Amino acid sequence: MEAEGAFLGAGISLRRRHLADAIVHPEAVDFVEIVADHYFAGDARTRNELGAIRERFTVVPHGLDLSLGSAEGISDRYVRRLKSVIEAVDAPYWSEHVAFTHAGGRHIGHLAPLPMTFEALDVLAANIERVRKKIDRPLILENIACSFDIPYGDMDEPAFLANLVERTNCGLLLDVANLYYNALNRGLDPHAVLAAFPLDAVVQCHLAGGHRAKGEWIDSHAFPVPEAVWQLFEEVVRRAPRLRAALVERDENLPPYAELAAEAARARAIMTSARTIAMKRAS
Amino acid sequence: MSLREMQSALAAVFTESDARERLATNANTFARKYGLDARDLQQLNALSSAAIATYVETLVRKRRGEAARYLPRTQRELGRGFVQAFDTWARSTTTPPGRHAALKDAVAFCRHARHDGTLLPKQREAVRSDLREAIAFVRRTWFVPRG
Amino acid sequence: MTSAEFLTFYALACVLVLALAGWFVRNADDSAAAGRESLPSDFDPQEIAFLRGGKNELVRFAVFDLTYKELLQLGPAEKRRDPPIQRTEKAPGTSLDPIESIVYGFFDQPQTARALFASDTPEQVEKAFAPREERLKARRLLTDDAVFAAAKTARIVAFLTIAGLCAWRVSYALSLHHRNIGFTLLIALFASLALLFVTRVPRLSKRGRAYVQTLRAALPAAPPALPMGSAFAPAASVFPVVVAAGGMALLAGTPYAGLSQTFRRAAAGDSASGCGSGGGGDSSSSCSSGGGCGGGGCGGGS
Repeated sequence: MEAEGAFLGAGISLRRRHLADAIVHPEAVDFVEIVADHYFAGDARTRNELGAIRERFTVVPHGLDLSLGSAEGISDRYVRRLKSVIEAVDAPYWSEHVAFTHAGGRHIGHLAPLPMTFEALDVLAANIERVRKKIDRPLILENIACSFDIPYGDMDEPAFLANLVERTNCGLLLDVANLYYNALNRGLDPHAVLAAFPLDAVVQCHLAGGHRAKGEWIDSHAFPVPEAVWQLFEEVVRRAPRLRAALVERDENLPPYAELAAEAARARAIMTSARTIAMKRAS
Repeated sequence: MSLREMQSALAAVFTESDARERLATNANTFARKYGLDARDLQQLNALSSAAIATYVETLVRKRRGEAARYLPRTQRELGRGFVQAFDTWARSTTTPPGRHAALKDAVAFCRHARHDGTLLPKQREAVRSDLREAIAFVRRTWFVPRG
Repeated sequence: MTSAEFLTFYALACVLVLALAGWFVRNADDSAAAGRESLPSDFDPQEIAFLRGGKNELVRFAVFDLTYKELLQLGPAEKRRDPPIQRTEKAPGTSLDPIESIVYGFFDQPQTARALFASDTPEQVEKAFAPREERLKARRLLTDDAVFAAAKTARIVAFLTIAGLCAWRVSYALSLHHRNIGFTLLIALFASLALLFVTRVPRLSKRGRAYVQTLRAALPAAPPALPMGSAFAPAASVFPVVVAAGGMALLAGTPYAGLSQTFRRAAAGDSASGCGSGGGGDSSSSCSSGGGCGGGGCGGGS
């Protein structure tokens, strides 16, 4: 499987507001994820910023708007920009979502769910193949948060992702918070959903905290990682043999850098402990 | 209905309040516009309006979060009122197309808010200041938004 | 050759000489070949401030840092335009480094920023910083003496060429009792002034300018000015480094905004007395400025 490799550890999704803190105190995290789309400008300042981040950290670019699930195909221009960021930071791998963001000439501006159908699998596989011809770094695919499914699918999400992994050989980026909130919004047991998930393919995890509004759980990335998500993550760590990295995401209510780093430290401790146990068992 | 048509219809529902209204009140017109047959329409109608509303709110929050990067003074001056002002405006507008969507959103919101009579003079000045900076950024990147 | 033809030839020759002189000076700086300067493991904000704006920026930063450590404070500005900077009740103990000691020492009585820059404090600070300046030179972040020498050579050769052609034409015209030498002299004068401009040597080397730009990109103040204590402000220990990289202008909107204003006023006052404030670039004079490094390259012209 692509994107297998050395253990990266625990990181944060780096936002510009934490950049100075991260550059001065890089020891607090093992790696960072950047939103690739924020660095498409390609001006001198952006290049310098990317260079500085690259100098300090292992960087995993995270795409938002490639729209891998678009039946209309993907934008070559977007792929070129993505490639330039991925190469600028010498990324070990990069990630995108199993979703679509463009259709019918409209830019949705957010990740929209795909129907869990074989046709959607065909579209994803074709688009991923097209991207691979341009970007040679491994791609990992993330499950999205959405409070509903498109009706009349051919399979459920875990089966859909397992099929996708089999067809594309891509690793998975398991957003544990997305899985958790999706399960709650559908009245399902998150641990049961996790049990069906293709954990063998999970390379990286996202951890975040959301909130409840108007009866729905929203993965707003606005709060600390809740205990229930930490518990799910511990289960993932035990059962995902290819897991290389985990990171804490925060987009709203940005806390001080030290708070995010502390959450990353907790993720690191969980992974390190599981790895130690696994190594002892192996020896 | 092919995946392409389904996605096109969904994109309209997610981004346009008119399309949502048409689907709810005059499904036949909506179906004709997007080339949907009765089964397709049934499939779309199976999506609960509450779920779509939640999705739209998430989209609005996302637009606000992204645009806020270009609106530091406005955020500071409006405080909690920024969230309400932006969200109310965003619900009645569509996501801008193409590159720099967040910047386009920020510029469009400022253009709307600078004439908002309910804002204090200091708050309007903050909006104008962010608008100037956003437009300057636009010029630096050789990019001209409409509107 | 008619007069018009000679003037055209002379003007073109001057442009060529200026272009060659400018090219020669720029190429004399080979510091970029040493590769990109790495970010340090421990940031030295004083070094960053000095790189950005020389001794005056270093003095400004020291005042800010002492204020940040609550050893100095901005006094009341009632009727005076410039509020004084004065010591607080807090004792400095033994924590002051040599630069801070000099600046703190100046404020044994309340003094304005204008008085600070009119005193010999910037020179004392520069002297105290000299060993570190040597290290910056060794890292090829400051322009080598060889580049200054090359610029001098270029200036002399170019000036001799411009002046020589001018002298030849003038003497030839005078020998024929012609008096139409005004345009020739005018071109020579313009070319000589332009020569000084194109052979300017920036304080920072190419490598130094690239390093400063990287620092500014890597250490941004999140927009636009962060009230300390806001959730996304840099941590307390990081804030001075951010100010060193971004300049006093970043203090606008923070509890230290008064310092930024008083530095700006001091710069404006000095400008009125014939001392340029600039953007915090090269500081061979004792002018102060509130701004940071200009966008077109730090440390003076490039």
